Amino acid sequence: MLEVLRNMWRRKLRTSLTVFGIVIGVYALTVMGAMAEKTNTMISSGAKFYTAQITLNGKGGIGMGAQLIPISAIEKVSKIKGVKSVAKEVSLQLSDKQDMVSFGMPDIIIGDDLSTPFLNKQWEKIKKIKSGRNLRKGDHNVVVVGRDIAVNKKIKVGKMMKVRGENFKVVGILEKTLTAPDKMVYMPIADARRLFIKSQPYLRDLQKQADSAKKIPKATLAAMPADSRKQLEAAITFKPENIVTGASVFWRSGADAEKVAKRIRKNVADVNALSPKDMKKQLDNFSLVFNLIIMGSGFIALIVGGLSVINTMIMSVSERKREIGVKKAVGARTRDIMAEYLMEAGTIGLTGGLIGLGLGWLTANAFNAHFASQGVEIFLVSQRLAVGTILFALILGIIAGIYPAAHAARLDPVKALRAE
Amino acid sequence: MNDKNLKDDNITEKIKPIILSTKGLTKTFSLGRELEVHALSDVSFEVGRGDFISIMGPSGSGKSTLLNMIGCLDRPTRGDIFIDGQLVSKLKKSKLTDLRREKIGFVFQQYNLIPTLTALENVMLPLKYTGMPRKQAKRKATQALEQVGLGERIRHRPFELSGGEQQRVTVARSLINNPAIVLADEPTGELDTHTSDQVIRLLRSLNESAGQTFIIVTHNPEVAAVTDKVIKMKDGRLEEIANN
Repeated sequence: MLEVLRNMWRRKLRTSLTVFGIVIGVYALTVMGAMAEKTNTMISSGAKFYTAQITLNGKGGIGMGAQLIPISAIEKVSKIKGVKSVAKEVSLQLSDKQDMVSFGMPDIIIGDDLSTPFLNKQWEKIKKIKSGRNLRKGDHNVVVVGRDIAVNKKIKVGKMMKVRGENFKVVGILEKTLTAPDKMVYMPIADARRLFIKSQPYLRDLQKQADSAKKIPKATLAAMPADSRKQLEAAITFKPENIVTGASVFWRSGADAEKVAKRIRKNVADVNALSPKDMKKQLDNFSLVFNLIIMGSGFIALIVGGLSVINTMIMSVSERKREIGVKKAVGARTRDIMAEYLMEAGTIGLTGGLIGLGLGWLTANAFNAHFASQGVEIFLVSQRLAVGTILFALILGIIAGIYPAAHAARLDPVKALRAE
Repeated sequence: MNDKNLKDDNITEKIKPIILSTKGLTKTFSLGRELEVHALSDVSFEVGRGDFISIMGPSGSGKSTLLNMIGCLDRPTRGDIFIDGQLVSKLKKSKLTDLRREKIGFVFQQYNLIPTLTALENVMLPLKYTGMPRKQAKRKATQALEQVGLGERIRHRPFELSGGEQQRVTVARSLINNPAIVLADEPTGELDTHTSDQVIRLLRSLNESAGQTFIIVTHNPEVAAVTDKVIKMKDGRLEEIANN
């Protein structure tokens, strides 16, 4: 082993550069991987939540707040066989600025329908109150705040919090969940509706028209030209309480969630119903693609490092031909020579791996520490990531060493001894 | 006591067993499709156990090729080589490696020490491939270095040693496995006359004390003069075997 290190150190610059190549690769893999791992933990606890309910969205995708679910559809869903209850919700982004750049998920306001019990069993496990209390029926203009937002905005229970220009009293702060609720503000659904309408120019106008139309006496209305009258009559029918952006469906005990979701899809045209399986598939696909993109870039960097190991080892072998000849002359077997060079290549990989992981870990921690004040944590150097990365670097080094090592081991001793 | 020694010597003289023999040894290298070069043609000779012999001849006479064959580094095109009674010329490469490890020691003209290893580690090298425990190998190698008069310099790297010292390390390395035959290819080629003398005297004394067989390829008539027998090569053929 000592000889391996001495051999590596014979060409200090070359070896250092090669190790550095691996360091960069492993560094990239560690940092990227830590990002993926963080997202994976978020997704996997999110997955638990989403697979304990059937999730309803407005048709046309999972647009945050953009797609409304008609109230008639919710009513239809609640009558479907096997459905126990439907909990409505209104959600929108916390920030009213559109150009906000953020890592991962934006902060979100969730308006909870407190008149319907929320029967997601996982929810109780995930969402725990750290201080204060949860929302309850009859609340208005109060919020329960996710941990990251609370830390970020230095929010305390009992204090006021400005949400989209309105003042809310903070009644509770959640425990850290490591997933979505950390970045959420919960409020009664009526409050969220009011904010939602304010955020959508079209709905804002509609509300204005409705309000003014209601003040117009019937007689005046009847005397209006047909066009204006129809528009105003339509406006009157607008009811804020009909605004729903999403809903969670819970099934009766004994009912098959997949079948219930199927029935909803079949009988209610205006909603997307994602069963636990659909949701899991969607989340799995998301994390797969995410992992592939993130880890892929790290892998590519590492493979390039591997190529430079091959190059270095080939040069080392050609420089040490005579030594290989001597070793063979004194009785080194093919496998002895092979092992020596594989060990050298593996050591290069391992050294690069350890340094790269160390630097990656430092970077991830530095970033996390820096953003901790904002309640953002984007890296997680998990144990499996660390071990996996090191193993990968080691194995990569060894694999990169196979060709040069085999070449060395197969040298003809007579020719090798004659080499300069 | 004296009588017994005499008796033993007589027996050794009489039935001195053959350690190496070659029969019709031929090595042909093909250069291109039609051109063949006979590096060795029909070389036959025998070497007894404990012999101290030299091979002489001009460059290109086939000395080194012959040494490579005997040293099991290469195989002949035709002909047979027996080492210690075993036919080795038809063995597989892996078997030749085993044979080199067990029966042959090499001393090279350019010493061929591993530059990253200390004198001690260089001498230990052949033992590493026999799987001998490191501690034991260390003890053995230290003894071997003491035997060649380098007991004080075992921790030195090759570049910290003089040419003569380096060659003595090589000699210690060649003997560490207690081989049947030590092959030396121009062992004094890089050394001045004085050092050259020392090295040859060392080889001779090791031959006498340990009874190892030495075959020395040399250009130098003074070196050849010290050996018991001289095998003279010319144009790939054995010209004559002269007793000194």
